[in-house]
Amino acid sequence: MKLDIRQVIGGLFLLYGVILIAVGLIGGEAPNLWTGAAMAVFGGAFLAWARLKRI
Amino acid sequence: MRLDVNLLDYALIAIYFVVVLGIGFAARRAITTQDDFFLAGRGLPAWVTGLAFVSANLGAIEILGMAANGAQYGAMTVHYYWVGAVPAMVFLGIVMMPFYYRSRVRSVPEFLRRRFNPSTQLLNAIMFAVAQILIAGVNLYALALVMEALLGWPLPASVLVSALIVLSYITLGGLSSAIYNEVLQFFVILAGLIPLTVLGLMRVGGIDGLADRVRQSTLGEAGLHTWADTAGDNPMQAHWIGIVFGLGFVLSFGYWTTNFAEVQRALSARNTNAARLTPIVAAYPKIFIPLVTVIPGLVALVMFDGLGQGDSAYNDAIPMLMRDLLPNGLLGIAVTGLLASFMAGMAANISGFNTVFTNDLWAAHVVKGRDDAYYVRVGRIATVVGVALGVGTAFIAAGYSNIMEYLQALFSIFNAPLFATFLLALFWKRMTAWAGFWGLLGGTLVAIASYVLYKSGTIDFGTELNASFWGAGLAFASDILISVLVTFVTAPKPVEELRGLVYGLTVDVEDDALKGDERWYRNPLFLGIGALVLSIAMYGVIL
Repeated sequence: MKLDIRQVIGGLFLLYGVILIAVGLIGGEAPNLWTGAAMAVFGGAFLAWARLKRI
Repeated sequence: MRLDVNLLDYALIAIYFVVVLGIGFAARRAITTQDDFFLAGRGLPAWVTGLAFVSANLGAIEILGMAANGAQYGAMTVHYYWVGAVPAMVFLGIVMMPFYYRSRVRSVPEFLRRRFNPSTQLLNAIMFAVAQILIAGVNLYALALVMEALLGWPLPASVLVSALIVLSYITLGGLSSAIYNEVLQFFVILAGLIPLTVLGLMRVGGIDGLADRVRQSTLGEAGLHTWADTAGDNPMQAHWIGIVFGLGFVLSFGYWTTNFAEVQRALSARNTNAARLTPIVAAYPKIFIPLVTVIPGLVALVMFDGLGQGDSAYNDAIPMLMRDLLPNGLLGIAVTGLLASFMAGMAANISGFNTVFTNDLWAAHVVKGRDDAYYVRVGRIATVVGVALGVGTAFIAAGYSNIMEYLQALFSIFNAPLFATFLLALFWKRMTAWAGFWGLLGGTLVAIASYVLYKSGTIDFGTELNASFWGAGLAFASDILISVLVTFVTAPKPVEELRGLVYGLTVDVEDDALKGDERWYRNPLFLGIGALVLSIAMYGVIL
């Protein structure tokens, strides 16, 4: 199987996003929360793209 | 200045490097031939090679440096992007890339061998290889300095750790790992810089607040303009003629169209159309990068009194903003972005070096005619040696930082004569093989001479910036002059040998277009002109 960089980008950003959202909720730092949300959405979009158009 | 990095930040950094090494291992499985190792199998789509193209240049020195320029010179810094990069990138994609890609060469020096002779290839390959090692070393040293200042890591430790990471993923996966990591790095850098910019702007009262406070700063009103007073007094002390011809033509076309560390990304694209789109796809993010480098620079200028005076260097602009604006978590992402960009910059140098060393020095002049497995092995060894030399250079740089700065400034004008040679080579079929060699050698010597004379104070060009404009311009002109003179006293190459290498001498190559290449969003000419128009339009926002 070939390496699909979209899955790597998507996975990393989704993971980063989820961590930042969790940290933002616990610590109450708004910048972590909205950056985390943006990164999670971005990562999800890449995963969806990789899923919809396979190489 | 120390960042308050905690366990969470370190965890985010660690996750990134696990992924980076994972890419190296995954890419390793796809490597059997030289094209796999040195050109990622020539199978990548334009968005991947395009982002790698912009990323290879988006090293941390570039990011910290452009924010520093933003704080020092203000909005004029955007010239480095909209005049100094986009037109050359579009030219590379529309005009030059078909020659590079369709000739099936593996490197820029190999193209020079085909168009001229092995001596020209050797000359260019040696200059390029030496420059890449030195630049990789400087990169590594800069990384270690930042790590020492921000995280408190001892200098030798950060040099060795980062060299090892770069070494492992390039030795494993060759150019594909370098390129994949560059794409990933591009997004991680933005994930750090965008929140930094937004939080910075919120702190100073938005765009209007920033503009008001820049007017009251040391920079004053001039910090908010790009072309105003470029015939007189301005923060850069640069004349518009110097900006347009020096920066916009000689320096930038030289760098973007002939620097193999960049061109290599496009050569790894899957077909001619994707190769042509590579620099053009890269031009679009390039247009918007100043928003997250120059604006933070200006924010830092108004937030920190006395930035650039005394102990606080302009280069500290971004690190100081990170310290004051980012909470733990986001801070980890931003530090990861910086680390990643240092390593990607170095990886671009090293992957360019190992290709040129193997292809243009070893296989072309030392051990010829062996099988692919042999040269892939040579490439892996060259990577190890290259990284080791880079580490050595980093430690030398630690002792003699001035010399390294001079060398880097010198290399920035080395590409100007090479571009002159290419311009003649592609459009003048009469140009002879030895004209290529002597023109390049002469132009390069003029570049060195003008820089040495400037540094020793024999010639006064005013500022460092003007010195590089003039040095590059003189090197360009003398390259053309010498090439033309030598051409008239030597015999041209037979036309048959120049097919596919010179404009107007077409060659029958099978059409490699893919389904969908005819759509407007995959049309190099349309997208290229779009990038130029967008650049000009951006100047409309800030004149």
